[in-house]
Amino acid sequence: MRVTRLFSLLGGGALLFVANDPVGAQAANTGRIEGTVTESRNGTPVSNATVHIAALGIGTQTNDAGAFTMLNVPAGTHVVQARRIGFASMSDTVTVVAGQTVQQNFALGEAVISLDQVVVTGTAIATRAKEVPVSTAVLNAEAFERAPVADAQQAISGRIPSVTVLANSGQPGAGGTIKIRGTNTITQNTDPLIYVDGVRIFNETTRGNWGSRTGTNPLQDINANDIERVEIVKGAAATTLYGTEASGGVIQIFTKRGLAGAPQWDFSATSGYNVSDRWGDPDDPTEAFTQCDNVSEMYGLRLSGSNKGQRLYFQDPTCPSDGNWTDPGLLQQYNLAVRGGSQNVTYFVSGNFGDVDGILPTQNSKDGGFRGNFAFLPLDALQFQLQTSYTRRDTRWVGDGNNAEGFLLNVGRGPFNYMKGGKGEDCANVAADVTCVTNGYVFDQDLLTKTDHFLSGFTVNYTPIPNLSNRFAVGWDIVDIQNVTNLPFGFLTLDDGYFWDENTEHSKLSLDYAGTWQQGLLQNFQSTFSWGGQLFRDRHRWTEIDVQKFAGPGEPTISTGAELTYREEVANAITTAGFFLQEQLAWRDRLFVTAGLRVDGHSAFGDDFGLQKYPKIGAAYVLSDHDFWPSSWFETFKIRAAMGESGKAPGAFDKLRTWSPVTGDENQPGFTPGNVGNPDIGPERTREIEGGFDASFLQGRLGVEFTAYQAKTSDALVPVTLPPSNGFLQSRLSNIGELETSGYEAMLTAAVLRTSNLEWTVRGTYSKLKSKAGDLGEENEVYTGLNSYIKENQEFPTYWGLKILNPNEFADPEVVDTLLGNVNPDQLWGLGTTVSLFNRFTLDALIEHQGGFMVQNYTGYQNARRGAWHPCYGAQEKMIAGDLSGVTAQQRGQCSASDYDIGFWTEPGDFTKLRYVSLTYRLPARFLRANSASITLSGRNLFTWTDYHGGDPEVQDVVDQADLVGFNGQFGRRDYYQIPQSKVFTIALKLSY
Amino acid sequence: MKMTRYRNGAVLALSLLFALSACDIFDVESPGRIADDDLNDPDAAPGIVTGMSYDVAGATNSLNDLTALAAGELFHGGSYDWADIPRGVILPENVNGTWGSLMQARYVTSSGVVRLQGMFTPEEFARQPLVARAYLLGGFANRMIGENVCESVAEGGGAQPNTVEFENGIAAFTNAIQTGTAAGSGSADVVNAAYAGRASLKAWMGDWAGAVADAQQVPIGFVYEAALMTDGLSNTLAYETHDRFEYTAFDTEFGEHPNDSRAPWDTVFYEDGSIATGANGQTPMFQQQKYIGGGANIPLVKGTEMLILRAEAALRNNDIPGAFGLINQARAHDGMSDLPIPGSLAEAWTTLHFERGAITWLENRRFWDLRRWFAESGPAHHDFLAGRDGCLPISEEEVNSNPNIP
Repeated sequence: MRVTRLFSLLGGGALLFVANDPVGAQAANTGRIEGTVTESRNGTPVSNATVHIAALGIGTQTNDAGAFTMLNVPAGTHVVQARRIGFASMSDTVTVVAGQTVQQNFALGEAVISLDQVVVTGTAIATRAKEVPVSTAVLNAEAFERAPVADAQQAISGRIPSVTVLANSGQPGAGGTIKIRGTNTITQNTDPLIYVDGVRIFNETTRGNWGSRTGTNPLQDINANDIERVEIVKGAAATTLYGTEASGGVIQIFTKRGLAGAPQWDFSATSGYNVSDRWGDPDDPTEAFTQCDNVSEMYGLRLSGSNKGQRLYFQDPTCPSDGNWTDPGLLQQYNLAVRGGSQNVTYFVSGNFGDVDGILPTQNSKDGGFRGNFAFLPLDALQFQLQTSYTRRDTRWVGDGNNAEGFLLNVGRGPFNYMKGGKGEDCANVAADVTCVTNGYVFDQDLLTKTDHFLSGFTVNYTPIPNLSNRFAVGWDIVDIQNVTNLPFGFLTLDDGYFWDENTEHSKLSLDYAGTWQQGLLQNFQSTFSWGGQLFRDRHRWTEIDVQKFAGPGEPTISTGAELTYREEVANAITTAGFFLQEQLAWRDRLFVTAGLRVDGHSAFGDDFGLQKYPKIGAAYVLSDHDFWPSSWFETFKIRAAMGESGKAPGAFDKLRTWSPVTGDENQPGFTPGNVGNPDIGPERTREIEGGFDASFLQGRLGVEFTAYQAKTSDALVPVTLPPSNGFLQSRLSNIGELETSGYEAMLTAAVLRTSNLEWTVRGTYSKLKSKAGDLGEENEVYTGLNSYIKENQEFPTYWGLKILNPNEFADPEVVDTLLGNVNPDQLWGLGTTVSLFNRFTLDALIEHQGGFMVQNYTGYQNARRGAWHPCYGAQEKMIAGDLSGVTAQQRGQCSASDYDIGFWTEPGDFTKLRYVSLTYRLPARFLRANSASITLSGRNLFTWTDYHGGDPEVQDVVDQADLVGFNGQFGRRDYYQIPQSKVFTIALKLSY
Repeated sequence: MKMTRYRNGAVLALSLLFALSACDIFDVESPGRIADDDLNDPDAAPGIVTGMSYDVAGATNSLNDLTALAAGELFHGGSYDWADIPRGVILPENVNGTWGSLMQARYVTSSGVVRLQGMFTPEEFARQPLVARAYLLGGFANRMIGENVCESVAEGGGAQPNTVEFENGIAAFTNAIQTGTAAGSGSADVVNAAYAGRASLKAWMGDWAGAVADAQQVPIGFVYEAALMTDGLSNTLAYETHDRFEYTAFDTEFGEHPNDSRAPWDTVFYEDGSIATGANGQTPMFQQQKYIGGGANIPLVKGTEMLILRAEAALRNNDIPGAFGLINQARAHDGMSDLPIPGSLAEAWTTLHFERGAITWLENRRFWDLRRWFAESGPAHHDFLAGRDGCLPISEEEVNSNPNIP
C-alpha cells in the first residue's frame, strides 16, 4: 500500500514533465536529429550512448532501444558524435534544415579501451580520458546492471584495482569499509571523499549500533538502479584539485539524467532469499552450535575445577523446531523510474523500495527513497540542473559481535553463555544434569538503526562563449542516523530493561565554482586554463543517552526509566575552503601536459598555519595517434605520468587545549581535562608519483591498463604519548610521521569470442600494494589497538603477538613474540566474465580475491578457552588426561585453558569468493509491448575458498574500533562472534517502456 | 574587452576566496568544549572543584576492581583479560589506565588550587569553602597514589618514593583543616574528612600518636565518599558484578563469611534453580551487594575505619583489650556482635587484619594494608602477598614517554 502511494506520487510528478510536448518546443529556425546507435557487429541497440554536437554544447542520450532524439538543433551543418564506454566513438556530419527532421544512425565498434570517453577531474568541464595523466577508473552501469547489487557499495566491490571493499557484517543493512590504495594515515579517516553529481556528501562509515556492533556507509544510500556511472580517482596525484581531505581518494557517482524525447519508463522487481552459509570451523559438526538439535554434540568441556575434563551437556528448549537457528530470509526490491523531456527541459525521476529479511528471526532492513534530476536549458549557453534525493532505511538487527546479548556470542558458547535458565517452565523438561540454555530470548531485543539521507544540489553551467565554461554548484547533504538498543523490561539477563538511544546528525553545505578557458595557441597547441574555489561547511552533532530500571513493560522512553545516563554530546562545525588553478597544454591533441595548484584553509589547522598549497604536474602522451603507429592491430596506446599532492586535515579539536564538561557530585557541572592540544598542528601531506599506460589491441578485443605508484605521506599525524604524570592523558597529535605506500595495479579486458550469436568477454583486475611506516619521530611505534601496531620501518598496520613456530610438531609450542601479518589485504584480484548467446542470454560472473592479511578469530579464541570449541575437544581431553600424544603444538597453544593468547588465533584471512553469478534472458519485448524486457536469475556470495577457521574473514566488530587510534576499522579488525555473510539468490524482472 | 571582463570575474572570485580565508569562517564551532583560559574566570570556581571531585572519584573507581583482584577481595570469574593480575603479577603494561587516572586526579587538584589562588584575594582564599574542599580532594589524590604505587612520579619528573605522596597528602589535609575551619560550620564535613585522611597518612608515616589524635576527631558515623552517579561516572564494580558477571566473592576470604553486613554478597541463581556462573562460564557467582547501582558511592574515609586505626595503634602498644574495645565499638555500629578478647597478640592481629578488611571491603584500602602488613615482622605480619606484587609499578606509558624514567 505504501509502495503504491509512493509510486503514484512519483509518477504523477513525472507526468507534469511528460505533458510538456517536446515537439512543440521546437523553434522555427531549428530542426531535429533522430536516429539509433547500435553495435556494428550485430546491430544490437546501444543504450545510454551520448550523442552530441560539441561545437554547440548540446546533446542527448539513447534509450534502451538505442534511439535518440535531438531537438532544437540550429539549422546548418554540424559534426555529431556518438560515444559510449566500451565502444570507439564515431562522428558524422549532419545538415539540419529548419522545421525538418534528419535521420542519423551510428554503428559503433567495440573498444575495450576508449580514450574518447570523458571523465570528471574537478574542473568546470569534463575531460577526455586521453588527456588525463592519471589512472581514473570508470565503472559504467552496464558493468553491474545484471549483477545482484543493491547499492553503490556493492556495485564497486571487486571490480576496480586497488579498491578494497570489506563487507564488515552479514546482517542486512550493514555498511562496509572502503579503502583506495591502502592506508596513508595513522590517525585520520581513510574513507574516500564521495561526490554525487558533483556535490560532495558525508562520507564516513558511521558508528555502529551498540547492540549490533554494525555500522552503515553513505554509499548504501545510493540505489544502484539510479547510477549512470562511477568514477574513482585514486591517489594524491589525481586528487590534488579536491584539496585537503582527498588523500584517501575520491568516488564520483553520476546518476541518470533526463533525455529529450518521449518518456521512458523503467521498472524492475527483484525477489529472492538470503540463505545461510556454513558457520564456523569445518571440523565443527554443530557449526558453532547454530545446529541446535545435534543432541550428541551439544556439550562443552569443563577445563578447570574438580570436574575438569567432564562433558557439560546442554539443551536449548527455545531451539526452533527444525533444529537450526537460521531460516531463509525473503527479500524484495522494486524500482520505478521515468525519464524524458524536451530539448530545454529534461527529467529523471525514480523511486525505490526494498524489504530484506535476514536469516535470523527479527533481522530486517527496509529502505526506500526517491530521486529527481532535472535540467533546464533556457539558453544554449545556460543550463540549470537540480538534483534531489531522499533515502530512508530502517534496519532491525540481531545482537551481534562483542555483546553479552549477541546471538553468536551466546549460541556459540554452548553451555557457557549468558542466556541460561529461561523463564517460567522453559527448562522444566530439561534433565537436572543438563544445562538449560535459552538463546531464543536474544531475539527479544529491539536493535534499530534509522537513517534519513537527504541530498539536494543545484548546478548552473554557463558557457557565454565557446571558449569559456563556468560551473557553479550549491549542495546540501543531510544525514540523520538514530541507533536504538532496547532490552525490554523483563529481558532474560536484565530484568529491569535497558534502553540506549544515539542520534547523529551530519550536514554538509558546499559551494563550488569552477571555470575553464580554452584557447588555441599557435598552430598546434591548445591551452585549457581552469580555476575555481570551493567551500565546505560541515556540522556534526552526536548525542547518546541510556536509561535503565524501568518500572514495567511498555514502550520505553528516556523519561520512563529510573536511571538516566546522558552519556555524551558532541557538536561541532568546521569549514574547509580553498581554490585551485590549472593549466593544460595540448600539442596536436596527442601530448597533454597539465600543471595545477590547490590552496586550502581549514578550521582544524593551527592558528599560524595559514593556507596550504598542493601542487601537481602530469603528462599524457597518446602515441597511437602518430602516423607511424601500427594501428591496424594496436589501436590505442597512451602513456601517462603524474606527480601531485593532497592532504588530510586533523580533527576538529586537535589543535585546541580543552576541558570537557562533566557532571559530578550531586549533578553539579564540572570540568575535567580534555584535549591537550597542539597549536602548531597542520595537515598531513601526501605526495604521489604514478605512471602507467592504457592500451588496446586486435580491433578492440584486448585492453590493458597498468599503473604503478608510490606515495609518501610527510607530516603524518602521530599520537605522541605525553607523560601521564603531567595530568593530561590524551596523546597529542603532532605532524612528525612519514608513511609510504606503493603498489601497482592492472586491468585487462578481453573479448575472447565475438560472433553474431556468441560473445564472451573476460575482465581481470589485479593490484598489489604495500604500506610502510618511516620515521615516526619520537615515537618509534604506535599501538593502534587490538594487537595492531605501526612500527618504524615496518609494513603497517600489522598485528604483532605470540606465534607458534612449530605448529605441526607433536611437542610443546615454541613461542615467539613477533610480527604476525597485515591487518588489511595487500593483494586484490577480480575475475569477471560475460557470455552472451543469441543476443538473448547473458551469463555474468565475478570472482573476487583479497589476500595478504590476517584476521583475529576471537570466536575460536574465546570459545576454546571456555571449553566450547569443538575442534579443540579432542586435544583438550587429551591434555587434561595428561596424554599429549598426537596433540600438535598448535593445538596445545590454541586449546590451552591457561596459556591462551589471541596471537595463536590470528589467522590468515585470505579469501576468494564467487561474488555472484547471474543469468539474464532478454525477453522478446513485443510480447510485453515493451522497449525491452529481461529476467535475471542470480546468486551472490555463492562460494568462499578460505583457510580461515572463523565465520567470515570479511567481517569485523565496528564498535570495537570506535575508541582506538584511527577511524573505525582502520587498524585492528577482529571477528568477534560476527554473523557471516549469507548467500543471496534472486530473480529479477526488468521492463522498459 | 569581453575577455577582460571574464578575467576580471575570475580575479574577483579568487579575491573573494582569499578574503573568506582571512576572516573567521575557519573557526571551529565547538559548543560543549571549554578552552583552558576560560577556566580562569571566578565563576568557574565551583565547576573546577566539582571537576576535582569527579577526577578523584574516577581514580577511585578505576582502582577499585584492579585492587580488589590484586588484594583477593574478589575473584576473577569473567571474560575480561586481566593478564596475570588475579594471580598477583602486575606489569607496567597492565596499569596504564589506572595510573593515568591517579595522575590526572593529582594534576587536577593541584593545578586547580593554583588556579583558585588567582581568583581570590589571600584573605578570601584562606577561608574559602571551595578551597578547603580542593585541598581535601588533593589530599585524597595523594593518599591513593601513595597507598597503591611502588614509586611515584610527578609532572614528568623522576621516580620518587611513594611516601612523598603521603607527605604531600598530610600537607594538603592540614590546609584543608585550616581553611575549612576558617570557613565555618558549612565545611565541617570537609574538616572531619581531612582529619580522617591525615590520620591514616600519619600512621603510614609512623606517627601513630598523631594518627590517633586525628582519628579521635572523627565521629563514628562519619563517612566521606567519592561521588559516583548513575547518569555520569558510575560505579564500575556495580556494573561488572550486576550487569555483567565478571567478579565473584567465590574463593575469597570474604566469600567464607556469608553473613557479614560489612562485606555483603549473595549467591545468584538462574530461574531453573542452578547456580549462576561468572562470564567465564565456570565460576560460581557470589555477587557483591555493597555497590548495587551505578550511583553507589565509594567511601574514602569512615568513622569506623578510624576506630580500627586506633585499635591497630593499641595493638602496636600490645593493648589487646583496648584494641578490641575499639573493634567491638565499630562492629556494634555496623550491627555485628562483639568479639571475645583473644588471649594472644597473634590472634588479635589476625582478627584485626580481617576486621579492617571487612570494614574497608572494596574501598581500595586492602591492597595497601596487605602491603604494609607484609612488610611487618612479628604478629602484625600478613602473608597474602607472598609471591605476589604488592603495588602498582610505574606504568608503561609513563616509562615510555618520560625521559626521566630510565
